[in-house]
Amino acid sequence: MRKCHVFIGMIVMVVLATRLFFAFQTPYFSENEAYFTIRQVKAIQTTGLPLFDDSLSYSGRVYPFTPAFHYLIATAGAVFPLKLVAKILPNVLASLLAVVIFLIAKRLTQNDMSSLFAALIVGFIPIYMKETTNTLAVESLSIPLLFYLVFCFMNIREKKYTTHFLVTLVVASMTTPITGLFLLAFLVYLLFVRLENLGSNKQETELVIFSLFLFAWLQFLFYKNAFLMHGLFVIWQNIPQEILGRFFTGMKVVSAITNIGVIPLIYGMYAISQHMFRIKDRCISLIISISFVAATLLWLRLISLEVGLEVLGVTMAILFSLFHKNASEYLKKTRFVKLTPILVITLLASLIVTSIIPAVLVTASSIDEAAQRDDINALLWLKKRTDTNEVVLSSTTEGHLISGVAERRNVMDTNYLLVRNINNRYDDVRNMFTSPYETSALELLTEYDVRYIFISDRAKKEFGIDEVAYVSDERCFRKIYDNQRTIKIFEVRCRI
Amino acid sequence: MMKKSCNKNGKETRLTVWLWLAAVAGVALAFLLAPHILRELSGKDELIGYDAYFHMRIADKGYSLASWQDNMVSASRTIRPTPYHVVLHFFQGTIGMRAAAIVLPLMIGIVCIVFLFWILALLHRPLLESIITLLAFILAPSFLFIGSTVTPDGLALALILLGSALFLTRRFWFLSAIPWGLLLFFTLFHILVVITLMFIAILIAKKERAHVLGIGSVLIGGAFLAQPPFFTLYHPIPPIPIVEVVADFGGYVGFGIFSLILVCIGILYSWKFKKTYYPAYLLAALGVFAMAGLGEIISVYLMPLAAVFIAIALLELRNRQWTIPILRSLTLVLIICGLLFSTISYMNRLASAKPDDALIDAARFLREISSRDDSILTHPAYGFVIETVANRPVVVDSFQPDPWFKHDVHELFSSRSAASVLGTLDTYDVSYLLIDRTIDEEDIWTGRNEGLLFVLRNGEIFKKVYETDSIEIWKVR
Repeated sequence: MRKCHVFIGMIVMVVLATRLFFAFQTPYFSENEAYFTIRQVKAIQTTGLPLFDDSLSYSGRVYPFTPAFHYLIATAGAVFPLKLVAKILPNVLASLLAVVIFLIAKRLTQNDMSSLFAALIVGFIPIYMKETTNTLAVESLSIPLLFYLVFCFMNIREKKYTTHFLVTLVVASMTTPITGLFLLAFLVYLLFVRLENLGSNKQETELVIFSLFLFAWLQFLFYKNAFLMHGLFVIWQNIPQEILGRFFTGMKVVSAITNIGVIPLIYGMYAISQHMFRIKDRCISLIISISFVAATLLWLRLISLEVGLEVLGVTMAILFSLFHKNASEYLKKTRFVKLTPILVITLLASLIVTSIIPAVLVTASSIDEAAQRDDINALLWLKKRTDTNEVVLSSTTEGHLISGVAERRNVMDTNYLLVRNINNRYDDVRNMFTSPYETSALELLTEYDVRYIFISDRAKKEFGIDEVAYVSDERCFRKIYDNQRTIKIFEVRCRI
Repeated sequence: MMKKSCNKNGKETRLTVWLWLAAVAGVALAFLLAPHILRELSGKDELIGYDAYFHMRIADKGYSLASWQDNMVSASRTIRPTPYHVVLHFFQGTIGMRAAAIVLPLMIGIVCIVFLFWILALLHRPLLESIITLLAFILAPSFLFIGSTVTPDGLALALILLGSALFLTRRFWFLSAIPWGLLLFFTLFHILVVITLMFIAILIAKKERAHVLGIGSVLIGGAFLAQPPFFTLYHPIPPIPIVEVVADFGGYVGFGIFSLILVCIGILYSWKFKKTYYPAYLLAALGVFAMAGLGEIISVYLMPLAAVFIAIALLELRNRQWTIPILRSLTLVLIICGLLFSTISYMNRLASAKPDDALIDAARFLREISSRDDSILTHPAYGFVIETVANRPVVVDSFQPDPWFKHDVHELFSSRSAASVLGTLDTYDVSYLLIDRTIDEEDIWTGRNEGLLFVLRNGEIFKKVYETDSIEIWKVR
């Protein structure tokens, strides 16, 4: 076994160990969407199919999504306990990104040390670590898969990678619509190659043409109704106007630095400038194309900040390997060559300070945001004591908890696609929490057939209230659960 | 001419050509009938689309092409029947309204295919390319639109294609003045299309300049005399955003997404022969420009051109030496699936398109309880159905030429003030309101119980006289 294989193995183990350490700090998940994934996984395990027709979300609706990730978790969950799989498997997949990036960097630089640095940086990209450690997020599979697609594309002249590319493309297209970003990047790359006269490669063009049609067809298969209902605005996922800005916010320098890491960002951008204007290389052009497309889509607010920064972070880490290779080659030509070990240690130390520590800190803070035991106890109480068909009002972000843990119908959650009049619905939910008038609140509660109101600190924070004003009327609202700290549940006893 | 072009490569006999054409027409027939069959199976016997009722009402007036004053909307407007309405009147009288709404568009769809094939033959396109062009044309949502719904755009396209074919024959070029001359009874836009085509003919064949000048001056002179409307009479204003031209994204009529990708690929591939194809690029550019201003309906007129580029793309992808041969087959299968996907999806939309029986029943109820002069306020989209089925005037409908009325109605729908609502109702002398609670609320009122819905609670002003699951009719006291 080669030395670098041992090192990359060590990096993966360190990344995985760090991730698992945080993931097991709490038995719950940091993002409530994880409970939606768990429900889908359970449905797949029971019926073999995901719950596209969901009777609990929005009190009954159709929700389209690409289910490859859910199938993967369901398959692993059939062999091992689902609780363990949901915590371990996404982290294993996300850690494997380091291996993929090592392979890409090695292809670019032919330098083991530079590639290992790139792998280490990728393992600790703050935003990626935060978003995939304890969240059961699709990105834990999709990002490694998409960069493996890039690796296959770089090596497309080798026959085996054509097959790998096609299989990966199908799986990626059925995992996430973000695959489109990479296909767009491939198109931009073909344009770059033509503009820079880097010689045409028919195989690449063919693969891109095929990929475009396959991706478009698969997306239309899954999202046909969403495209029909929302048109091109499907990009913004039908998110209510009031909260749209939070999801598709523009990129700010500070957020880019903190979420990607200062060293990969600075040196990645330096590498871009160097290669754009001086050195012409097909593989580097491909990575630059991905950065360019991700940055442009972020700038135009066409992708969410998290996904955009994750992709940018990974490409910057790859480009950092180029900088490292060039710098070390330059160093060899100078009299400072003897200082190489010191410089490597310095670089490692600065990476620890600027990437690894921030990554660990943001991940730790995301663990604090996980659902608390109090929330889960209240939801389990609700599950035990209420009828299965009852509707429970909660904040939008807690909707998945209502349907996932309490297994009751919610009024609204964060899956907004295909919901008619979404802004009205969001306003109604907000009014049901904030209205000072009992009559108008009761009208809405009747309209949505709400039987229970789940009031948590999170809901109060989301709607900026201290208490729900009208629940003091005991004739119409009976407090049925109060843990004396954060959660209260009221039963609605009147109808208008 | 057809025979000449087909024998040119020495392979296709006249019989083969006709057999292919018949097969393509058969496919088209199946596609065009499908929405009607699906509609029939789901028990819907209403015409497809609200506009159909408007055109039926115009056609009801008889064989005359003379304009008349339409008082069925608050802002009275001039209606100029087109040759389409005359033909529709004939079919209505012969086979009845429901059958006419199916047979006439169907016939128009088929003749469009024949005329397009004729043009391709006259331009010496190989048979395979022509067949693929026709199939691409048939699979377009725009073709389903003109071949399955009641719309004058179908006949206008057929006349444009027929005129172009006659013009290209050289021997009978002067006959093109007849179909193109009939376009004078449509809109100025259609005349502009013909003039653009002739301008391009000058660019291609300088010898025919005299023909072009002859027919061109007849048309321009005719346009001065006839003074057709620009484009506002038969299409909603303001124009719909250009993204709506993709039928798969919810556009009322437009291109499929796969068609659009193929058009781009076709343009890229044909760029090698840009000197041959530059008139097509010019037409495409003008078409996109027109679409930006006039909306998605322009896709109907662009579709034959798009079909040509789609055929180029498909043939190039088929004939290209693929380094990975399996990808060729996979790509072609995917493309065919994608094109069919758009078509079938659009077919389903047509099959389930509004109006539904709830609205028709409500309109019939209005006809029974109201008097002839009672003005009805409803969503603009429902205007035509009320005008035709209830035979009552409405405040506003989809083709309302004066945007101020739409503005007033929008204000009325969103106002929470009883006084302001009453003021507007008085201004337009509204006797009844027809409300559909299932219609996209965000189009009309921004929040629940806001606007008119809030004011309707006032029992002293309004009285509910009709109610179903979705539709309510309120009488203004």
